[in-house]
Amino acid sequence: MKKKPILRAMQVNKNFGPTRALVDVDFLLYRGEVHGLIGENGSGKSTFSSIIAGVQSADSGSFELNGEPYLPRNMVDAQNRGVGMIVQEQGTIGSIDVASNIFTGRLEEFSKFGFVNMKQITARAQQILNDIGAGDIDASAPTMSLNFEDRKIVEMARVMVADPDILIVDETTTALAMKGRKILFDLIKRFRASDKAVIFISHDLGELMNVCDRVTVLRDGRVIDTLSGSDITEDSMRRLMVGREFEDHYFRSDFVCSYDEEVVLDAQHITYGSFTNLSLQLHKGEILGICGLSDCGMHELGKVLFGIEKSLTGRVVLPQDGTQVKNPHIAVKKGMGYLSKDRDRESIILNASILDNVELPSMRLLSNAVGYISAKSERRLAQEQIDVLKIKCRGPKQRLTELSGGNKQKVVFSKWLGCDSDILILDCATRGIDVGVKAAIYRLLEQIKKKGKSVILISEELPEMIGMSDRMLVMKDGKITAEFRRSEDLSEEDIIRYMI
Amino acid sequence: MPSKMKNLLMRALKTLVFPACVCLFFAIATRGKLFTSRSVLVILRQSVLPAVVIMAMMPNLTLGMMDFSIGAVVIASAIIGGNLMNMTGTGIPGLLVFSVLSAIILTSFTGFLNNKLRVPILVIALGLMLVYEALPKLLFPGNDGGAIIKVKYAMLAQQPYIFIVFAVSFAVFYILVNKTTYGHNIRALGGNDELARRAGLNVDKIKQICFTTSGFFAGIAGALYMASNGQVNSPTAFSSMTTVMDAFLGLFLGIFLSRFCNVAIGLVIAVVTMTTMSNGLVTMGLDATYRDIVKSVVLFFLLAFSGNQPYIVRMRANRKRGAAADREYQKQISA
Amino acid sequence: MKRLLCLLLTLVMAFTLFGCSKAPSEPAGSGTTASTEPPKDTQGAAGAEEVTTSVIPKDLPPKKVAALGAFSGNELYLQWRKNLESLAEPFNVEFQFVEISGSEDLASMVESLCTAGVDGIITQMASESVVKIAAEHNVPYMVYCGVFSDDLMQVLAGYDNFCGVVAEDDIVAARHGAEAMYNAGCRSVGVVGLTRGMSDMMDNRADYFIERFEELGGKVIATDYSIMKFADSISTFAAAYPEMDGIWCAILNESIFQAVTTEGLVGQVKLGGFDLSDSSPDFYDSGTLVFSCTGQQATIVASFAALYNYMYDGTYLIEDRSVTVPRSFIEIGNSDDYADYNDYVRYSTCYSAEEIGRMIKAFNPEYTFADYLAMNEAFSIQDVVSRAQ
Repeated sequence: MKKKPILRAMQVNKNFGPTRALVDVDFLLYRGEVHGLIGENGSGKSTFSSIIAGVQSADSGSFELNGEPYLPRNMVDAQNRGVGMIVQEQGTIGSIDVASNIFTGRLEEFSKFGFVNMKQITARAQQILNDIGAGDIDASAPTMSLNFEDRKIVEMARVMVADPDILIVDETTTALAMKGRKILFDLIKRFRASDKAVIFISHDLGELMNVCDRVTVLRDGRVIDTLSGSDITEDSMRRLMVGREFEDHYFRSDFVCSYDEEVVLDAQHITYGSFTNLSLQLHKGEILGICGLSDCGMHELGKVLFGIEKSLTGRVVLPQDGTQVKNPHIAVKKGMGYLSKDRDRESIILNASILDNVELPSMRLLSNAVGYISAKSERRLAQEQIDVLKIKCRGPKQRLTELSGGNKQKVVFSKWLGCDSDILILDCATRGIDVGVKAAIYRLLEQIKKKGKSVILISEELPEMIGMSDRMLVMKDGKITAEFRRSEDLSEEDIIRYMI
Repeated sequence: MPSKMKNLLMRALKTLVFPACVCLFFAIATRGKLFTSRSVLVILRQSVLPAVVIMAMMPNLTLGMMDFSIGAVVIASAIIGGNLMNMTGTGIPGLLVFSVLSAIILTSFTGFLNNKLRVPILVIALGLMLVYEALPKLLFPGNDGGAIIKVKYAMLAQQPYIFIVFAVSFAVFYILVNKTTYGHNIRALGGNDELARRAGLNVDKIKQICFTTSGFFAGIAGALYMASNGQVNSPTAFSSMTTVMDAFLGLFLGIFLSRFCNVAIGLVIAVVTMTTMSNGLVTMGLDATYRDIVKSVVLFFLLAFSGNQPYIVRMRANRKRGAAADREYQKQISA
Repeated sequence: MKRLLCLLLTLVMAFTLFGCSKAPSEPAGSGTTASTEPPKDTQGAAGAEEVTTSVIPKDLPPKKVAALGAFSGNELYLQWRKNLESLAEPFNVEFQFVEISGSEDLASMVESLCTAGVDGIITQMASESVVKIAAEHNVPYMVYCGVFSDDLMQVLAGYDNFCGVVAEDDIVAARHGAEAMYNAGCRSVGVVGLTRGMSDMMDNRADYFIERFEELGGKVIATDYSIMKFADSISTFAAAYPEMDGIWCAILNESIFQAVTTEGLVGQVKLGGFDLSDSSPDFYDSGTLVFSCTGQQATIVASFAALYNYMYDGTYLIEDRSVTVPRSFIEIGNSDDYADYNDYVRYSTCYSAEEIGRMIKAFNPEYTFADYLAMNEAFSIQDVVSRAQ
């Protein structure tokens, strides 16, 4: 049966100053289709989807929705025309209840002479939540009492209020755990089944392969190709994204568990959050992987090791000089670095420039005997990191708010590379980063290891763990349930047993 | 007990614990003088004016805008209302109508400037404060910018009329904040204006309405101010801010209490509590300067305690847990 | 657009600054100027009378006097202005009335006036720095209705241009007020006043009332000193102290009467204090108000006499300038007193130009300081009436 197109984009262009974000983009979306959109950071996929959703407008080009010209003035207009989007960032208002969040901007539908019928709104909101499989969320609850995942689910409910024909999912899955992902994928299935369409943006190639009927690859603002059916493979997507074959290995090429005997970090029966009396040691030149489910306690462990949170028992020690890591100040002074999972809130200053962010932990290295820091040395440091990590930007002075999500993550990484930390604690370091940069980061980690520096790699991605770690600790419910050494035969199944 | 009822009871307790402590303290300190029926009526009556002022300030505050000119608007509307009442011979209804109308015009103008100039409200409010303080002098040069009304019109500030005025004002405020789209939209906008804008809310329109409704309550406060003082002179040099100082203190306490109860109710309880404190300190013979210090210090400690309470609770729980973990570890070692 | 507005604002501010930096021909802040005709070199008319034997010479040199303080806003301030203006023509003086609000600096105001060429300053406020500034410009400085510490008075008297202070005797009036209230039957009173320390005058009004009232055997059961929150205090007292039978107020403004009415205290308590208000007559009629005092409007002209003495030929009317010259209040105890005050004092100038002229030693060499003291002490309704007849 011939599929009917629902959305057509023709020769769409968008510039941000000298940066050409979209160049002559043509795009076709059919009814009943889940269409993936992938590309490296800065390839234009979020820009394109945000134009469709009415967040911003294109500089030139045209859109047709169901055969009619489509030029949304704003998001509300787009919603009214049948296009809804779930964004990457936080999209709910904490100060109001769930029902009000779901119906923000639509309260007039439930009001008479300005008086709003909250009972009706709450009932309807609960109905929608039940409908999408989130009946455990109370529609009358204050939104600020919900965790990040539940708030994302509320956003999904809000999008569903308008019963859109096109749903745009913009890198939302990274923020969701099992429950949220299930709800989202069920929604996607429902859209497909009811002859509607979904534009699915993700960096998770496996996910794209499982979910999408077609995948369009963008690079530098241009459509490179659209894959369908059996052509959608991780290799083909990677190749098209970066424009070359991956001749080198993606992860480490060796399968040797190698590190010095010297212990550089010693955590002695530490207790915090969900873990109790946990002990571990990090060796010189080691990449120590820590994996588990999202709530196993590994993220809190990273914070305690860096001194952000104080352990209730025991201590974290740097055996070389016996320093106890009590707070981040001591940690940084002693050559430790930390990359948080919650990037925007804990790792970067959004309103500051790349330069300001990169140099933050490196002040002592940049300053001379009297504490003076030259602008030249600052710029040099920032530019080095921009070059090494290929951060797509106008220059070191560009503000982080103007960068894409993945480029922001690169800036976070560059902070700690720039100050030449001896011990790096990386929590979900490659989250939201495209394959090209991921590969570059993995190469960097190898180089760091070779220099004799040590890395604790906390991740929810098992392939990354297996591919990069010398040793791997598996956590479950706050305890270390298994330890694996690097080996060619190690598989995900071996590890999952101890995680779930 | 059903959990909803239990929850309600807990919230009511949390709301009333501080006010109850204040009442108890002053009941003892004044040896019961503060809680005669007459005293209670005095406290309630004296709470009305600051409560209405808070109602004028609250919507703007929800949007993150502290309108410091509200004191000047209250006084200006009092003077305008008083003079126009005298000129037209319309008595108390005239006082109310003219005060409210003049206040609405003034605050609407503030809102208009805020929307058009895109300058922080602090700057606009401070500038307009001087303008509104001088306005009565321009309008009524013969009275030198002041107004005097006859003692018989003081009945608006007497019971039961003042309570009727309060009841009507409170009802309007409660309904506006809780039962209308306007109230909901304000809260949404106050939570995240970018998201609210994207959701289709007309931000400028909502802000303008905020200022205009603020004027309604400011006008009522002006009429009450005129009635209770009988003579109001044109203020100068930001002195109008002292008029609303008590309201500010009540506002901070009200925001704290609104964590446990509806915001409108929380504000009223807060104002009554602050007035009780004021009266109690007067009855105890404490100087005005020291009264202000005591009220501010009490409020400071209360807000510091409440702000840090989650940390205190967590700290205690952590200490307990740490001790248990240590014991377990010792057991493991010895085993 | 925003940038343009900012630029515009900056330019306006810059021009304002430039404009203010020049020596003003008229000092900033003088919202009102003398309403009298400009001084004539010929003769100044001597008041309403065509008296051929006026003590005031006809060809007085023109003088310019700056009066700093409050001259609008209430009846007393307007009376001060009116009383002073009545002397403008007879003495050939141009009065410049300068309103000072709390935010303005007295010293800079005085300096501006001196630079502008005033011949004398009459004001309620004084400090050593301000008198010194006037001294540097050889401008005489006179104070009316001000209360200062002994130490400060000693210091000020060290300046030749300082002509002295004339002020109503709050202490005597407060004591008389205490006696009046005690005689009216009060035994348990509440006292309200301005915040302690803001004004010695206000503090005296409360302190000396309390002292005398307690001497007589009465009891002060509650006090409150807060800036302009008297009405609330009275409500609180009335509720907390049902035995209260009197209220003493440092300033009897309209809010006091409103509060007494609101609390239903009319006829239940006696009221006493300083100053009059619109509701005073009604409260006299009801017998609630048993004591109030006024008459400050004449102090300014009594002070002018001392100032003009020095301005004219350097004569000090006040012998010991380190001591405040006391004036009596007009004390009103009942409706009849009030009626007399209303008829004879309230709208009159209290002292004619001729009477002031007789206080100028150059015009009347026999006039002494003792006469001046007696004149000030004698001030009362009867005094005004008898002089007017």
